Amino acid sequence: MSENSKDAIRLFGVTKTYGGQKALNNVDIAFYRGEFAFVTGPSGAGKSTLLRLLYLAADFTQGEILVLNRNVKRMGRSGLPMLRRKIGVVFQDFKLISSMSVFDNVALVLEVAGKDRKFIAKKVGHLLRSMGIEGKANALPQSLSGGEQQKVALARALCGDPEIILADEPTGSLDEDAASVVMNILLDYHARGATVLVATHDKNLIASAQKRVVTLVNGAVASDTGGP
Amino acid sequence: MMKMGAQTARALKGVRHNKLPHALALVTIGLVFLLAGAFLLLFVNVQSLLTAWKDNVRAIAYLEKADWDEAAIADILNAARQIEGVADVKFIPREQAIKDLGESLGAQAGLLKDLEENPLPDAIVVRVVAGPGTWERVEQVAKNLSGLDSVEDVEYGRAWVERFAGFLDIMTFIAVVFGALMAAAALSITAGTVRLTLYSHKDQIEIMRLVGATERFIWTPLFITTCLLGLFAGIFALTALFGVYWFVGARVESGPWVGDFALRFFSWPACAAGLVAAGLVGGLGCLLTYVQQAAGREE
Ligand SMILES: Nc1ncnc2c1ncn2[C@@H]1O[C@H](COP(=O)(O)OP(=O)(O)OP(=O)(O)O)[C@@H](O)[C@H]1O
Ligand SMILES: [Mg+2]
Repeated sequence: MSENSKDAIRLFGVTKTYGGQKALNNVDIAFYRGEFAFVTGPSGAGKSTLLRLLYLAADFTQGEILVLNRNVKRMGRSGLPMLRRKIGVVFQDFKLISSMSVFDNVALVLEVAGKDRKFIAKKVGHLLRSMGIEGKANALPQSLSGGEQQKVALARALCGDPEIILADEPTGSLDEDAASVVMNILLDYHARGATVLVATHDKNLIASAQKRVVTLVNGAVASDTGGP
Repeated sequence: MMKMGAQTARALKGVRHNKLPHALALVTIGLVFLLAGAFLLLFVNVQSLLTAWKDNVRAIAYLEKADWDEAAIADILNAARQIEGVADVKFIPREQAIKDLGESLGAQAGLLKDLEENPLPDAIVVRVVAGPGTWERVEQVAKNLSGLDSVEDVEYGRAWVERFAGFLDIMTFIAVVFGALMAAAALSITAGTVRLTLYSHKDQIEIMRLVGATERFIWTPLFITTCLLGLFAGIFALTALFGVYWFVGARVESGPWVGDFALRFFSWPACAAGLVAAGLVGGLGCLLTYVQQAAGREE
């Protein structure tokens, strides 16, 4: 096995520009399998951009990225959906489907993966309960509060039991108590072996967890502390 | 891979949650189909009317007043049959002629009772072979008929029918060109409408991709939806057309001027083929959209 196989994610000199402006500038970084890390930094530093490249929602200008030992640039049409099923994403803007109920939004991930209905009902029901939003299962997302929507987004990210969890400001809309509930859920998945990256501004959240912290400034890694 | 039933269920769910765009699409496509169908139906009927006239080009030869015995009648019929361009001949005895007259007079048939004797002559009706050149042919046949000894007078196709039917070929040409334009318009409007409908799913499609859906998973229910959209628009158009046909049909009297013509609707197989085509047109709209957006994403 190659040295990289212990890495879940590895970036080699990755640069991403938006119309001449560098959102990521020559980033070299790796996250090993089963690691829990925060990505922080000021607004516009490139946190969301970094995560976006990892779930292959955007091209990058320069460099190489390996995710679960796949060169994402070489990913074929059919490989892309398969890799995305191994990555659970909490989007900063939630990206819930407005015409589908909360239950269906979460269930979508399992339907996509071809799971049967009984399994889906059980799994989704369990997740919604663990986040205290089982009463909203049949509601449409836009009728929920920001915090509730965030929980739905988290439930969707987790319900496929992904190998990698990318959470972009997963506590941004939550009060302190709810934030710590979410944090505990993420730590729980980490304890079960998932690689978890959390992009956040929340200094309290970072301080509470005692984990690796990667700080981005102007698209470059400014500091990387608490790692192995 | 998902079963077809599950895909259809997802398709219907999508429609239920996006009622307005689908309803608008249904109405738009239905109206386009209705227009195209109305044109087709009109064309079919005009053509069959003209064909009825054309196939029914007849010349009537009235015989001199005399008591024709059977042998004599057979001779006359034989002579008429020998004339080039004659398809068949029929003898109409004067008794039959007066009876027909009475029937077509209907309530006023009583008028005939005042007649002391039957004024109508015996006649033979000659149907001319149909096809190109009918109009020249009937003239020739009529001329030859008047040459027969026992024939007193010959009547044949009216001039206006002649002139009208002269337009048949031109009309067919125009109809084919117009029909092709119409089909192209119907197809592109349908495709455009389907694209608009799919546009209402745009965000949804993107999100599904992000959570690992394959293109097949995303597009199969959309394809089913648009096929159903086409099918139901077709059913709507056909039903409306039948309504019009039924309404108009009840008001068009069949008379001698229409010949063997009766107002027609599409046959059952034609209706079925039309509905299948409507569904395919809907599906084609989806495919076009798929191909376009796939090409867009390659760039
Ligand atoms: N789609 C886009 N088009 C153009 N510029 C973009 C786009 N997405 C991000 N950017 C730019 O890239 C830079 C990094 O953005 P990014 O969203 O990664 O920041 P962030 O660290 O996540 O910020 P925040 O904490 O506000 O979420 C910003 O300058 C932003 O304006
Ligand atoms: Mg961000």
